[in-house]
Order: sequence, then structure tokens, then C-alpha cells
Amino acid sequence: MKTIQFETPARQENAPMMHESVNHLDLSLGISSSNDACNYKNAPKTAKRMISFQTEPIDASPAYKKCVSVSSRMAFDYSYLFSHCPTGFVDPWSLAARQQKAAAEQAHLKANPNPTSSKIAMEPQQAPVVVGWPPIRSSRKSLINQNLTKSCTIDGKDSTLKSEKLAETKDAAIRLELRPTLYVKVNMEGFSVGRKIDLSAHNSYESLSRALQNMFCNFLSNKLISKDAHANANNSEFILLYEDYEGDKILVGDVPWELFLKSVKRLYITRHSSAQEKAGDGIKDSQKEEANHLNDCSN
Amino acid sequence: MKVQSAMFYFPEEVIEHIFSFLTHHPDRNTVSTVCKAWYKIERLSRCEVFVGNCYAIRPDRAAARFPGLRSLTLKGKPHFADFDLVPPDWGGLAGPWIEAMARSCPNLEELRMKRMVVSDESLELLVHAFPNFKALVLVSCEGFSTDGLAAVARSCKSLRELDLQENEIEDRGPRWLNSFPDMCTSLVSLNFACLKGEVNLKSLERLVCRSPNLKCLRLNRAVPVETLAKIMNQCPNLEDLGTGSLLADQFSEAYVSLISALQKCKKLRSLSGFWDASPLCLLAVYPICANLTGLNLSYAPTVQGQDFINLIQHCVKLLRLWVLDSVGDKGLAVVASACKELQELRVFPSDLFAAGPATVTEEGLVAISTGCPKLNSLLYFCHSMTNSALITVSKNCPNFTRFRLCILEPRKPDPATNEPLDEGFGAVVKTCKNLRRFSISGLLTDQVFYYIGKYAKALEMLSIAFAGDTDQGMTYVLNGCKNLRKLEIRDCPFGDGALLADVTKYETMRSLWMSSCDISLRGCKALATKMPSLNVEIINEWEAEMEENLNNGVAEVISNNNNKHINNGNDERKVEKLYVYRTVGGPRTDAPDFVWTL
Repeated sequence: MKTIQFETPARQENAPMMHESVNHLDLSLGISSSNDACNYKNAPKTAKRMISFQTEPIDASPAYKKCVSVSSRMAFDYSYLFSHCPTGFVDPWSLAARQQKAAAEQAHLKANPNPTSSKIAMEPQQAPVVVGWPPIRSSRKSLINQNLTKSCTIDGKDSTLKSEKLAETKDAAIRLELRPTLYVKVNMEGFSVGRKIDLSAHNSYESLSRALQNMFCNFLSNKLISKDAHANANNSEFILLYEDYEGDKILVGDVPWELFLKSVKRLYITRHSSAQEKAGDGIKDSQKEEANHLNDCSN
Repeated sequence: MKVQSAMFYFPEEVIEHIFSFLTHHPDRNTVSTVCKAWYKIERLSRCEVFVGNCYAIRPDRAAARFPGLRSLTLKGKPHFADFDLVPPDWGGLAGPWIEAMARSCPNLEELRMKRMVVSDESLELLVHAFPNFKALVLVSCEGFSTDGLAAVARSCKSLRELDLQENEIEDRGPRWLNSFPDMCTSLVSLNFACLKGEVNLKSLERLVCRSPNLKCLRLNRAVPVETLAKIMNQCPNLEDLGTGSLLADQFSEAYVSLISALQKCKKLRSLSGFWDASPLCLLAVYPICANLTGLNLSYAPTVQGQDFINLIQHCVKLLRLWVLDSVGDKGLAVVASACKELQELRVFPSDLFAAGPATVTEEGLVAISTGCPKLNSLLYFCHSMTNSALITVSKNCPNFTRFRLCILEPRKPDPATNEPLDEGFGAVVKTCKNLRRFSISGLLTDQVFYYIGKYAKALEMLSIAFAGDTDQGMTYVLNGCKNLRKLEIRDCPFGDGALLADVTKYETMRSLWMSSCDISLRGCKALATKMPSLNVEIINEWEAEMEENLNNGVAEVISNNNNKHINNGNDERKVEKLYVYRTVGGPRTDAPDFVWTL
């Protein structure tokens, strides 16, 4: 069972400060709400409890001094922001929850926070979230989340900040379910010293390849990868492989991200030409794209 | 009189032979109550036992009563555990049952468990204690890993069926598939669709090669099209197939070999899986559609729109269809025109909040009911429903035995009239005389419960959420539904009055679940006192509340002693979750801290 602690610096009820810390820290942490064990412990707070959180001054209230999980904090402040979380915490029909929602919305408008959070708050898909509703199994709920994530990322970089944040938090939530950290070794061909990367800190192949590029750009200094950003598919030099449970080397990118995380043990970056010789067959478009990403040494 | 005395002179073997024609377990339960002699004969000859609530009887008592047991079915957690309403570590442990069977029932061949917690050690014990073990079916279970599966594969010499549905299995690697014996296996049915991790594809292919009796095979998402094609070529007699990932390139060899392999499978009747299905792979399926009786597309959000329509219009013999609501009313209309034999339909939500342009509405349901009059089982998720639609549906399909409608927004009225949906659901119970399972949603008053109590005489299981006005609603149901076995209620305004209206009723039922209702500790205590043959269990989170009070300066004693909690403080506290069930096993010995038996 995971409990993530944090303390807000400013002790003000519904203060913008709290919103900010939530926006920066907690959005990137993601919510542990998908982790059922953790979630259950904190989730079903009765309406009465919510009132007690809200009405007591923060400095005096022992509740704030306790270790409070991120998820219950989320429930208190932002149950309507993260309405896409499959398991929510607040009975929306309780008077306290509705008071809370009104207070949270007012605080948003008052404090005039950054556009991100207001977008999230004004999300038309806002709907009250109830524990265990609708009555579908968690395997189906996670399928729905995956599907929504995919449609968000498919929209590309033009998608609103809102859907990206939602996708990140959903993926973050799914990740937390899998493992807390997943450090794997990354070895580049020709170098005896490798690096380590935390795969659980990424939610997609794009993010992983970006991170690897950054890591190995500096690693290699100026010699092997040209700083010329106009590398195209034909010039792609490197290929990303991974080693699985059985010791086989497999090209990265074929299986869904979550499945990849389950089976990956190590990563290898090899040169395109040598890998081609070993493979024998032609390389598909998706693979070329992967190598392309690697070569594209963006900041 | 003559007949009665004649029965006494029948030798036991004859009576036993007569009993062997009784397979329905309620019938067998009844004959065992006739007299001591029949009880003894029945229990020694009983082969199949069904235990609907694993806490209704102690495992060793059940094992001792039926030493000749060959098949055992067990159910553990309450149904609402599927929706995260029951905390983890609640119970439902399979270990004590397997141990008791190991001691007393060496002939065990089949074990089916639903919503139970099974450990790897229990699985090891299972395959070592029962030399004839043949079939393991686990539905919605948890607590075990692929190591446990390896133990089953390795040690169970005559395994015929390994069926894993919707379980939470810890993935410790794909090696378990290698553990099956090297010579020919006796496998008839293998389902590992719920496994989330990778599988060893070579091992899978080899396993299929040496399993000539395989009729049902359901793969998980990690199995690609290439492997599927190879497998299909190996078993053209397959009747039930769950595909792996159906992502394939049109010009790839895999796709081509899949098409030819599928065409050879003349006996294929049921298809599921369809993970990541590309429209091209669907094309491969068209040739076999005409013979399909079962189709499960509920894990395939990519199959929608015209792709779905093109596929379904060939499936003229379909009996069971599970889809996502992204097929839309249009898709359902095509189903209605093509699948005239349809008996079971399940429509799952693809988006929990926004009613997108393509999701289903009441029109889709009406279309289905018009086109498929044989429909008897329905599970339908939608964003809104009207009374008139429900009335039409019930007129068109009077044969419903299972009717579950879930309107995604709680307490939503009929959008056309703004009225509650009492009349619509009432029409369903009035016309469907054989209704056994019923789930209702939307805005509902006590009136719907009046109808249910009055008309739903065959009803066995009722699920209610966000419905009703007063205690009278629940009372109507308890008084009226003579055959009620399971009642589960959440977020309804039923209080102690309803709970205590007819306490003897609960002895005729398997269980009652009430969560987020208006019942108090006082009411629950009263029930427990009046009915000692029931286990009245509450699941509480008051411990945390007490800690808070302490910090606030209110003097309370924090302890894990249940009695102190139950008797300390006031009885007017609302009970968040109540689970009541009849039992001859007494209070649970394995109840965790948060479960209090009153």
C-alpha cells in the first residue's frame, strides 16, 4: 500500500498556493488512485469527514499533520478535476461534496491560476466520481483509460494541454500500478560504460527515446552524432533494442508500452547497419521512425 | 402407503441409482432432507457440490459430509467486490477449503472458484493431493502468480481444463508454459487471456502441437498474429478461440497465413479477444462468421463503425454478443437485422463520461428488441433511457431471465418526460415472468419496488443503486419476492426500519449487501441479536475516525479490540457497509480487523 506524504508550505484554506503545489508536484507524480489497495484505504471517506477537513483551521487541525495520501488530498481539493480516474472518493450527492465543489470552483476563479488548471476545471466532461460506479470491472476500466490515452496522444501536439495532462496522469496512475521504479541498464555499442534509466518515469516510447537521446548526446560528445538537427530516415544510425526475460534481443516499439515494461530487462543501442546485417530482413517503417527519434538530438 | 413401505425394502444401491438421475443440486439437497437413510445415501453418492458462499459452511464439515466429492464450486467475496467496494484482505480464502478437501475427498477432479483468494501454495497442494485432478476454473480470483500456474501445469498429469477468467495474476515470467509435460497433454481447454505479461511463443506453439484434444484456446494480448496463425494451422478442430493481438500488416506473411488457417477451422463457433484489431484482420474473420454462435468484441475498441457492421452482418447464427457501446445505435440496428437468433447481448461502456456521437441510446435497445425476440439475457450500459423504450422492449421480448440496465449517471430521469423510470422497469417485471436477475438504475422511487415485489416472483438476484425514497421500497422487495436469494443495495435511503422489517427473510436468502445506506449500528446489532443463524458483518472505517478525534482532544481509547469499538461510543453511528448471510459455520475465524461480526 502506497502512501505519499507531502506538506503544503502555506497553511491557508483553499489557497492558491495549495493549488500550485498540487499542479506542479502532484500532477507529475500522478495519483495513486489506480492502486486499489492504497485507494481503498483512503477512498471512501464519508461526507462527515469531508466537512471536518474543510471547516477546521489548518494549523490547528491534526488531520493535516498526519500523513495524508496524495489521493485523499486530491479527493478533497480536486475530485472534479481528475474525473477520469476510475475510482473516485467523494459521494457527489452529499452536501459536503457539493459545497466543496463550489468552494473549489470559486477558489479557482478567485485566485486566477495558470490556464492549465482552469482548463481542467472547466472541462465539459466534468462529472461526479463515485467509488465503484459505474459497475464495471477494473480490467475494463483500465481498457477505457488506455483507449482515452491513445486518442489523446493520437491528436498529436495540437491537443490541448488538458488532454495531455489527463493522459499523463492516467499513464502515471497505470505506471504506479506496475512498479514504483524500473531502472534498467542502457549500453551503447562500442562503449564499455553504460547508463541506467528509470523506465517507470516514462509513459510512452516517444518519451523514452527523447530521454535516451538526451542521455547519449552528452555521453558521446560531438564525435558520433552530428549536431545537425536535420537527420532524416536514411541517415539514421542507431537502433534501440531491448533484452527480455529469455535473453532475446528485440526491437523496441512493437508491443504496447505497458507490456514492454513488463518484459524489458535491459536496453541496447546499436548501430543501424550492424543490426541490419544481423537481422537480414528489411526494417519496417515503425522501426525506422524509432531510429530516427534516437538520432534526432533535440533539447 | 404401499408405495412408501415399498421404498424401505429397496436396497441402498437401487436408491442410489435413482438418485444418480438427479443432477440438479437443489433437488439433491431436497432428497437429503427426507430421512436419515436417504441423507446418508445421498451424501455418499454425491459427486458435485455447489457452495454459493464459502462462509456459509465450514470447509471440513462440507468435506466430511461428501467424501466422494468430485467437483466443487465455491464463491467467495460478495458481487460488489468486482467494483472495488470490498477492501482487499477481506477474505474468501481458498486455502482452508483445499486443505479440507485434501484430507477428506481424494477423488476431487474439478475445482471452480469465483472471487476467492488462492495462493501459489494452495495450487501446489491442489495438484499434489488429488491424483485425478482434471479441471481448474478460476474466475475473478487473486493471490496467485504464474509460479502457481507452473505448478499446476507441471504436476497435474491429466489436466483437461485450465480456465482463467478475469483474475489478478502476478506475472513472474512466461516460463510457466514450459512446465506442461513433454509428452502429449490431455488439454481440452486452456484460457489465459487475463494474463498481462509476455508469453513464451515457442513454448505455446509446442504445447498446442502436443495437445491434440484442444477445443478451446484463449490467448492473451501478448500473442501476435504470426503465432496465432501457426497455432490455428495446428488445431483445425478448435471450437472456441480467443485471439491475441490482431495487429497485422496487410501484406505480411502473418496476415496471409492467418486467413488460410482460419478458413480451415470449420468447427469454430466462438470468438473473443480481438485486441488491437485492425480492420484487415477482421476481414480474415469473415469466412467463419456464418457459423459463429458466440462473439466477444468487448475488448476491442478499434472495432466500430463500418468495420463492425461489415463483420456482424455475416453472423446470422449468433447467440451471444458482447460489444462496446462505440458500435452505436447504428451498429445495434444491424445486429437486430442480422442476428435473429440472438439470446444474450452485453453492451459495455467505452467512455464513462461523455455521450459521444456514436454511443448507444434507448433507440439501440428498442431496435434490438424488435429484431431479436429470443433475447433473454441483457447487460446494457447507456447514458440515458426512457420509460417508453423500456415498455416497448418488454413487449417485444417477454423472455428475459437476466435484465441489467445501467444508466451511467446516477439518478437520471427519463429525458423525454423528466419522470422517474418506475413505469419502464415495472413493465419489464410485469411481462417477464421468468426474470431471475435484475439490475436497475436511473431515477427511481419506491414505486418501482412496489412493482418488483408484486410481479417479480421468480426473481433471485436484485441489484439496486441510487434508488428509492423510503424504507417502504426495500420492504416491498423483501415481502414480495419469494425466491429472492441475493439482494445488493448501494447508496439508497433505506434505514433500520427496512433492515428489520422482515428479519426471518434473510434466512431464506444467501446474502444481503447494503452500502452507503441509512442503517445504523443499533439496527445491525438488533438484527444480529434476533437472528443468530446469520452472520451480520460490518466493514468499518471508524478506526481512523477515532484517531482523528483523539488528536482533537476528545478522549477515546484506540485499540484493535473489536469489542471495545463495537460497544464504545454511540450506536447511532451510520454503518457504511453491511454484509449479512446465512451460515451454519458460525462467525468467521479469519475476519480481518475491519470486519466486525456482530
